[in-house]
Amino acid sequence: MGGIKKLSQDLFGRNANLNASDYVVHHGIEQQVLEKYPGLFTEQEINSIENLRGIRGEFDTNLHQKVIKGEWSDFYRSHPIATRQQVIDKVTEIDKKYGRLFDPPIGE
Amino acid sequence: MEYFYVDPVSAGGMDRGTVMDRSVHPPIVSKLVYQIDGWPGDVLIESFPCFLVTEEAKRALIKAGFSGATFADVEITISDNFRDVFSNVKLPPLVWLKVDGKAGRDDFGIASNLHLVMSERILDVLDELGLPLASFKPFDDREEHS
Repeated sequence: MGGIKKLSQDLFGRNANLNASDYVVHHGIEQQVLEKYPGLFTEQEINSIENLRGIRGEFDTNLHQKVIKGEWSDFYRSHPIATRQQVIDKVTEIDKKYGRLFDPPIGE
Repeated sequence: MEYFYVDPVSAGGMDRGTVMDRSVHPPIVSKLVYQIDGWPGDVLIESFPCFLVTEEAKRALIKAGFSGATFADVEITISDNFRDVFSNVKLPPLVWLKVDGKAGRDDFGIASNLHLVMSERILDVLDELGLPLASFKPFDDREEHS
């Protein structure tokens, strides 16, 4: 097993009341950070369970693609160069703003 | 002519294989690999500093005539999210819209705050085809020179 199914199992296996097929997996530190800021994080860190958040499929377009990725676009615009801490701080900021909408929720 | 800031929705992001010069800002991308992670249905999508349009939108833009951008090929990949959760969604063919125009002068331009600016005429063309998730606000040329 690989890909999102493995990640989903890692994330949702700990939460028996959640059905993995209802969710998309959001990476707190975006996967494209590997391209935007090469060498800042490893693929292993990006795919670690601590970096995964579940978002219900029906929220994918508005919450995931529009709002959260919009936040990251603004970050990329304003950070030609970023430190690990700046990226981690952005993840924390997004978790604080929208974590209650994740499954399982963050920051409640 | 009126101009608008346009913030398109994302449908994913840059994938491995993208080639860009990060010594300048915004980075200059010479090869774009875009990974689709979801499909919002908008005919214009972004991953800073790049924009993609559907083939249908490309045809409409060519028919209308425009300045400030060219088209190029993009390599599209599919994320595991998309493959596993949205496998029933049919993706339209996409092309890279390379914006190099002046904001408030050309139909497509990049403002000093690095946001996309479009003429009302061309925004209407794309909006007609579908931009339900994009955000718009009026562009004031004076902000560029203040």
